[in-house]
Amino acid sequence: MNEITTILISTIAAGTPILYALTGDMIGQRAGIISLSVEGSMLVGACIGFGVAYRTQSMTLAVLAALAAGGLVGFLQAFLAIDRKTNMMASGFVLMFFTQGLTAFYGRTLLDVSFRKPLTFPLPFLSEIPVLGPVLFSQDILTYLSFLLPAAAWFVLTKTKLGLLVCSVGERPEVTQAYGHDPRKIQYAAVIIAGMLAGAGGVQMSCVYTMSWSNDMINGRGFIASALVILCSWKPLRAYMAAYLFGLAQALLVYLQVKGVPISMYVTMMLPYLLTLAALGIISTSKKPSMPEKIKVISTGP
Amino acid sequence: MRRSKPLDCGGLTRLLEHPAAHVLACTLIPVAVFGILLFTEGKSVMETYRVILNAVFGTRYGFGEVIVRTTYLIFTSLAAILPYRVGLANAGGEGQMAIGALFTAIAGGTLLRHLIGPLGIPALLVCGMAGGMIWAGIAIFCRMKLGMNETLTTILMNYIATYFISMLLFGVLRDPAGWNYPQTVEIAPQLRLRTYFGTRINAGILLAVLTAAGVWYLLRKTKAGFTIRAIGGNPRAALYSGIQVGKVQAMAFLAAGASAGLAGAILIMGTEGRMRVDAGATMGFMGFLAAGIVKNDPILAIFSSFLIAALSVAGNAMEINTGLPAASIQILMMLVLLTIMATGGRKNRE
Repeated sequence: MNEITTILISTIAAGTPILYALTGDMIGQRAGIISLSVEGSMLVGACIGFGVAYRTQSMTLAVLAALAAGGLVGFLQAFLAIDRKTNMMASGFVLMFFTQGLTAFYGRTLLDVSFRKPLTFPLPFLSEIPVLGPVLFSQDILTYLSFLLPAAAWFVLTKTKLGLLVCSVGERPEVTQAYGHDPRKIQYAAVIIAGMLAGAGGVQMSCVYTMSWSNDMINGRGFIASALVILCSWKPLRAYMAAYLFGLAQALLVYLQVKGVPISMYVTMMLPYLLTLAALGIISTSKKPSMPEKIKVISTGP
Repeated sequence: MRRSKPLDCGGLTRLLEHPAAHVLACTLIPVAVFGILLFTEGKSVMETYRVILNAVFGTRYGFGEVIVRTTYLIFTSLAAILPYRVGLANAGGEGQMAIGALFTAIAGGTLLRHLIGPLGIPALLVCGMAGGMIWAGIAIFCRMKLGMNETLTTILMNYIATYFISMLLFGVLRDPAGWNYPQTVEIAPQLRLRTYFGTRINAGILLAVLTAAGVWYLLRKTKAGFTIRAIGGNPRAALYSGIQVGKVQAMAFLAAGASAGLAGAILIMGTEGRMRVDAGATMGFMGFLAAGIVKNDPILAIFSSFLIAALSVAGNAMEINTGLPAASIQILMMLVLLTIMATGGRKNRE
């Protein structure tokens, strides 16, 4: 395996959890609710998913548990933001705090174990292609699914009646109402789906990427995903670009460190957040025609 | 616009709107739920709560620690309250406090090392405030000039602050005489705050309570406070009535940074003496929580800060005595907040 292949493999690995949370939150944001809670959803998904995988040795059960747990955090976010009219950014932030506590509590017995079941499932013939084969076609099921996810989200959001309904809630809920649909239910569904997808991203991270559980292992990736939605201008297909750019940056830094280039480890760790902030700054200087109306209200003020 | 009815528990919700019932519910429900969690994990519920109470009220040192942490939390909760009052959400108290602490430690160990106490102590407090203001200033600049959501920016800046400080402590700022520990040189002894009662309690708590009272006075009794309340009530109406909303928001945000920075300054001058990795960690997050629990009231925040500080000290004791991770106590803190948010009547902000 040459070096480019190695870098690309770690790009995909680092980008996949982000891709899940990013696509999820984008669906929620199109319905007008920002789920900073995807951070919390990823955390519970990673913890519970890993716990279930370790105890039962079944990845299917692990993914189901992670979907349920992530969705539950999404439900809390939906309840606080939609029904209790809490500031949706603040509620997402405090849910991170809650899930940190819960996962530290329930994950304490999982700290010293690892789950090393081989999960990769190379596709016949396709995985033989040089470079692309090992990068794209020798992955685990969750990663394969993530390849399809933004495209599926794009199709549903832009080509189906259901997607149009979701987007209409984020733009003009009163119109949705007039057409006889309940904006509240649609928002709930969108935010819960955001949580479920983030939960899947979390379990991918703990079971496939790190193959272990450690406290607060998501470490802001959910927040980054939430921020990258803005970078994608709320367009699902751009999620590939945003998530893998992020993954590539991480992969390159790790590669440089392995090569002995003297960069402080902390610069490496800081860079994803710095890059996200810089990307947001750059995208903000352009006009935001594609921003859902309901989101505009909370980020640009009166 | 007609919408379907929010989740409503009918009579129960109405009963909970009575203030006394509400306070009772917000105490009992979290304690009961956390107790069930402990029970299902095979931990003795009574023993754990005994450990918690004993850690907080059982020893002089423990109670002193609670007061010390209350000091930081009052400042960091004010850092959440001020922006909230002008329609912003500052989730960056953690980073602002850390940078404030860093500035204080650097200044106290180098530039201001030879100043006498009466000059140096106020100067160091100003350094801490400046550090917090710079960190908050970046976020509010991004909001005002680039239209970037301040909550997201401040959250990202928390992570940046943590790694930035680690980078410095493992690099240029590492104390050459510190046995290779990642920490700065100690600040000069005359710049430390005196501690009292054989604990680590220092004058910071007085400053914190006075600041909270000052913020209350500002909001309730002054013209500036009236302006702030107008913006918090309806920013668009305030804008149309000629109030410079952006300017007031920026000032409130900078003041919030200064408040969190003060927490950092007192952390260094009162307790730590030097900057370490993880010094004061989670105090910024918990301040945000303390503010949320009392719906951003500066006077009540003194009490919620005390409550959260007590729980945080209890968390450490729990880790030592029952083997549960200290972070578990965050569940209890959050249950209090969630109960308040979920049962808080119709008074939440639209």
